[in-house]
Amino acid sequence: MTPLPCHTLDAYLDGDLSASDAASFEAHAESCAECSADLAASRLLQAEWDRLAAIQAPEGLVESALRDARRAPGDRQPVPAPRRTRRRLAGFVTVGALLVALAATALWMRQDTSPAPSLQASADTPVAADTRPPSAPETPVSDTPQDDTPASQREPQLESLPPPRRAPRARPAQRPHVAPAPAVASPEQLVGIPAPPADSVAQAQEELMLALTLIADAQSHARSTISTELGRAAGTLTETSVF
Amino acid sequence: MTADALVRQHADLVFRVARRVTGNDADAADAAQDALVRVWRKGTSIPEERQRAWCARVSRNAALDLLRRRSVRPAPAYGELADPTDAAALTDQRTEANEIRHRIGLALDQLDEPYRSIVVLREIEGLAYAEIADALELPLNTLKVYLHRARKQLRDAIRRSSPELVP
Repeated sequence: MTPLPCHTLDAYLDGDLSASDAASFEAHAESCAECSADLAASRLLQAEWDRLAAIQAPEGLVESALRDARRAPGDRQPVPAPRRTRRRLAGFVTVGALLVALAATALWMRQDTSPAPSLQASADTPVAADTRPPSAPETPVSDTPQDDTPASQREPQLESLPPPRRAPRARPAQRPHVAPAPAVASPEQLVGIPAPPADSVAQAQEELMLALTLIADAQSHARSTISTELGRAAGTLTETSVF
Repeated sequence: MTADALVRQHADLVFRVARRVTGNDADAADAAQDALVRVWRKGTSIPEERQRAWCARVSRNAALDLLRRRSVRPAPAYGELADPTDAAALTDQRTEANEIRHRIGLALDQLDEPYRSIVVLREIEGLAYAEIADALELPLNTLKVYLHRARKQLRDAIRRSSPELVP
């Protein structure tokens, strides 16, 4: 058995040598004064390391630290979920809230613009009135064939009508909440378009408020998440910078 | 693992590392308490295989912060004697075991950083090379070279200070 060279002492101490190599090193150390002294010194050191490794934290240290941790302001019980999951969750909540808001808005628009064809016609009417004689406000503007009556046939009637009023465009019809009070004839009434039912308007407003609330909550949550993550990053930088 | 369990699991390691840096039990307890609060707050977000090394690093940083706040240099845990051979004069005042312990402590205190931390984490805390490299942010090969040098320096110091024990 060939004795191993002296520089295998570290591997021997780390237990990285095989049993046969370890035995070879020990045999070598018996005949090598340098390795023998190093081995003896290493055993003294190891005994001290073992003693130091047995030192325990003082009694009460853990409980005191836990009390401090729970008492610290602005800190909450840490959530074991990984950071990426939390960030992803915040993103999902934000996107979900936006989708709900869009859906609510679309629903509201659909309800509000249900008489869309006649609205479109009424919106077109003033444009036509600029080039043709104004049509009677009381006359329902619709897609009925009578609208195709030549202007010359309608003129006598029109002359006896009040001054032309600008027919409402689609935009006012889309904002029922800013429509004139019921005591005054609304543009919709003037052109014969029924105003949306009050309960539909109320429901749409309620859904819109809900969507806005969800968006606000999502923004708040995202803000707090970003703030927390920035705090974590700053803390990590502080800890690592000491090294 | 909950934050509380994490604190209980690594409290001893955190205290020992802090003790090695501060040099006395009272300061070590203060630093360890700060470190354990950090462990409680952030430890659960650290991957499990890195938690031990991370706790050691947090403890070391907390101890260094404590000393920095007090504007105190790290105090040797075993005394202020510069030359381990001077300790031989005190042999009659201590038992032989205490004397050896004292000399080893002096030799350890004379190691520069990061050699001393490497020895503590490897020999006392039993961390793997990869964990120590992670904790001290050193390349693995560099860490091995440093540990080899630190061990040799410690052996040489013991051989000089205790020729009667080390032939």
